[in-house]
Amino acid sequence: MDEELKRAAMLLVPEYYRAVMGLCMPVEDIRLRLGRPVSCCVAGREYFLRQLPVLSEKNLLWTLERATCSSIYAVQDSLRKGYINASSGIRIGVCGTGVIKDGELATIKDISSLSIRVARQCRGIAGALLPYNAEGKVENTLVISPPGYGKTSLLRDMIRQLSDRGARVAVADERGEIAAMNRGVPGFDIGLRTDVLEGVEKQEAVMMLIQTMAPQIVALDEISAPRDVRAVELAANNGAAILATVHGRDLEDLCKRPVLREILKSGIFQKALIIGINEKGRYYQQRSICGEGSCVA
Amino acid sequence: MLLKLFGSVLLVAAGIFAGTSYAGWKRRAIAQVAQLCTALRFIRARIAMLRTPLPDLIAALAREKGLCAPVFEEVCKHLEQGLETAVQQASVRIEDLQARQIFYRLGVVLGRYEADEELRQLDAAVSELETRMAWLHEEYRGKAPLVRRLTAAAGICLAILLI
Repeated sequence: MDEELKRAAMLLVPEYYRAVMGLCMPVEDIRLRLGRPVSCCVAGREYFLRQLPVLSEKNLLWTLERATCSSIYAVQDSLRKGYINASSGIRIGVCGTGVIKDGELATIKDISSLSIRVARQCRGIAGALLPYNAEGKVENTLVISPPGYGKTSLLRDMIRQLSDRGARVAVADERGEIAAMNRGVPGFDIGLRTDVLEGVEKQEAVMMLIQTMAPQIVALDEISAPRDVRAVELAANNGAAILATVHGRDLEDLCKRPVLREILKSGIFQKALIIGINEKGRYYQQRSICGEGSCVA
Repeated sequence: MLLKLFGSVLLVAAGIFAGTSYAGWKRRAIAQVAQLCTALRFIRARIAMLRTPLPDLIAALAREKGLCAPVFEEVCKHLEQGLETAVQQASVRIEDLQARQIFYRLGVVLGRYEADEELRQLDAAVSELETRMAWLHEEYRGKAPLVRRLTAAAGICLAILLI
């Protein structure tokens, strides 16, 4: 699966750079910046291909055309949010100049940078971290880490394992990163009992999933905005267990952000899984959250 | 004498054949433009409702039977070189020169813009093709019988002259 994803990501890189980049294993991120050397991130470090010419506009547009299947209109909504979903779980971050129309971001023009992010299926990483409580019920869990530490991979594996163990899981996959649906077929193994609603805003998606799919667990990726918090509240009020991820270093860090502080204080989440990286590699820390006044226990 | 008679029959037949071929070619060109309009309307509907990417739409059209299928097959074949190049290369499969130019120009804009603009461009192309089709119809109605008669008459004249 990972090899397939890498191959799919490589097909988005101009042929000129592909051969050299193919040697880098395992590529996590490929950065194409106009007028600068192409780079790739391996194990958290960025390596520049300085021996090759800098990226030309023609090459950047070629990648863009490939990523959008020559159909900008097909990705226009996600482009407004700064990313494109190419097939097979590859998300491409886009930077350029915003075009404002009626006070809102209409599109991005003069695209200057692309970040091709290669998702990974890390089977089994959630094995010891499944959020069951003493009664065997799934606790509402928040996965916390800085970007690139593997929040989504952990969430995906939790979904897969819980689903395969009998829980009906519904995924509100706004950015298409968790399941990487391709014509209705998930690009990752997300379990037998998992239903995915992709490309819909979290609040709306949670509402739809609860009304139509009767989930026992609702999973959401990257909650940050007030409307995402409302989606979490909605799921919690309807009796579904929640698995969610959020950017941050730790619980104390989240408490500094008003939107997230509120949700921590509300007592919806019972458990936090914090991902960190030290010299030995990635580590996971489990903490319980109690609401009502103090936000962290 | 019998040989001369046979030759003159052949000349007249050739004249009639030339006229009929011309009319057939014109009819085919009109039918192809009509089918191209239908194909563009199909693309338009799919973009408006489902935002389906162009390669999928083109592949679907290439699978259809009809006079436009070879055009879209050609687009599919050259898609690796980019949509613009592919459309422009495939446009040579369109028999009518003006319709070919309309399709060629469409290659420059297809897939480059947001949905609203794409739909506007497709509407403009369909409207141009419809105008062209009406003109071709008129031309066919006026010229085809005349060409048929003229070529037949030319065959007869040539036969008489050679006899």
